[in-house]
Amino acid sequence: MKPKELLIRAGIYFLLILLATFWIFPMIAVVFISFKPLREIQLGYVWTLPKKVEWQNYINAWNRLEPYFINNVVITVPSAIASVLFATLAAYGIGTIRSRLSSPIFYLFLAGIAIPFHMCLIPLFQLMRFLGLLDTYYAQIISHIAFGLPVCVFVLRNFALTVERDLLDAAKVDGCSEFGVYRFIFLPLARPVVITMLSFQFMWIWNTLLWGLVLATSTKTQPLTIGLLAFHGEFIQRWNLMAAAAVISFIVPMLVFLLTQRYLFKGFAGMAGFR
Amino acid sequence: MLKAKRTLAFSFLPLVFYSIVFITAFGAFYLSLTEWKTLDKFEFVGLENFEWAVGYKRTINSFLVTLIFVAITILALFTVPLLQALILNQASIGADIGKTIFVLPQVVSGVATGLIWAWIFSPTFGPIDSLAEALGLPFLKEIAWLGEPHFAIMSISFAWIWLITGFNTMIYLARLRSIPRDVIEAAQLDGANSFQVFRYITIPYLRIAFAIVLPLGIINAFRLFDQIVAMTWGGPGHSTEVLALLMYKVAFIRFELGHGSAIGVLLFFASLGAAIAYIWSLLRR
Repeated sequence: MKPKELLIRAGIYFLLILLATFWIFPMIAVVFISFKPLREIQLGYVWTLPKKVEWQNYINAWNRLEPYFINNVVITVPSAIASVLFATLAAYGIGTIRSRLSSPIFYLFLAGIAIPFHMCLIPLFQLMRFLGLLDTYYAQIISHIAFGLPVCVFVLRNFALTVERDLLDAAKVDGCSEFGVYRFIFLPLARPVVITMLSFQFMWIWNTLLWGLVLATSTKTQPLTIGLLAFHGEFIQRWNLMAAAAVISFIVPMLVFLLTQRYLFKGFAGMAGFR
Repeated sequence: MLKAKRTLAFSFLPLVFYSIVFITAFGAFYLSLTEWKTLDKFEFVGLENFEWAVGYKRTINSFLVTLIFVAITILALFTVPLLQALILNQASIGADIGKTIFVLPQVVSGVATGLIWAWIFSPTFGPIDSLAEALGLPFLKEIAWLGEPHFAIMSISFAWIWLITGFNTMIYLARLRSIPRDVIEAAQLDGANSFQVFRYITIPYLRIAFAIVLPLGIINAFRLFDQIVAMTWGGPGHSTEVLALLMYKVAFIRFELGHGSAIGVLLFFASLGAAIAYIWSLLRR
């Protein structure tokens, strides 16, 4: 290789390492200080290994955050599963069974992307109040499903368009019902996309603040994001505790992400509209 | 059975849930035309709320603040993710770890992101002072990153960009990877240097990615909320009070539901242009 090319190569790797280091430093730093007693950070010892590993931080944080954490699980899991499931139904209906209604319904779902969630908060609040669902899990679960559908339907419908018709027709000829085709042929084929969307929805719902802020009025149903804010308000300036709380909040979505990375990377492109 | 009936049958359940989106959306428009004395009594007042909103100092201010963040987002989306994607595309080893690292912030909630960066930017407890000293940049010490308006906007922007870049990097990367090698090689055979390859081949290929990344980024920038709640709650003063936050404060803290709805509707129209551009470019594929 010519020396000039070698220099450029080296430069690229140097930039990569520089950028990656800068990018990951917040999370590593947070994990570091989550294990330290307060005095150490006060003195600015962020980067050294903790002289004393302060597990107490995590115990304190968990004690406070536990109800919120449980709320998050109860809300996120059904919402993610239901929204993706419903999206596959709609996608099959409009993407595989291509009828006159397919386009209108598709555009209907697409329009949802233009609507800022914040605008809908006030009517949503009133609606849930009227239905007596304020401060119940149902309020948030229903909202997450409703507002999560546009994106999921879009991606899954694009996938549905790529399914070979012969496969479906062959099944029908063999006597399979429409729902049977959906269940035994479409769904298995859609598995990678479904996993991608499940993962995406899970992380999104787990981390969202808006609905919980408005629809949950007590720790009975408030999600983890609110728990974090409350924790911050209570333990202001105790950054080591905050760090532990933050780690507790992102450890689950991080696991989900790491486990489904492969699918997600392919899915990112799909979400941008590329096939 | 008529084909359309089947489509409807499959779409039925999803549509039932999805109707909530439209019910609340239209509800917001309707509510913006009403005034509320108590939580249950309201009267129709026409455009009075909008007159109030436009005349209210804080609305104008929050609209400007929001625009600042939108502008910063646009600038950032043209540079950081593109740089990351270009580097990842060229590097043969370490690209996988790099990808994971760049996308990792996506798993952190907006709130947690705000809190993490609030710590980073905090005066005595944050790592900036010790870093500044180690790197020999003494002028970076003792700055109230979140206590002064200009710095606050900058600090929030850091957190925001850190959060959203990864997703866009992946989109750019996917696009870069789809450029056929033969085209580049042919150009190089014809004597094109790297810069010309970039300008005449890479950029046109990236245009489609820009058409998606930018509108989406703008839409999200208009909805900036979580980080600000976690980092500054609109302060210092009202210098980081974006439209979404103002709407929340007016509607749920001052309980002026009519006024709040009006601001929400304004938010909708403000981001409508970007939303339409986004949907349009999604459909072009």
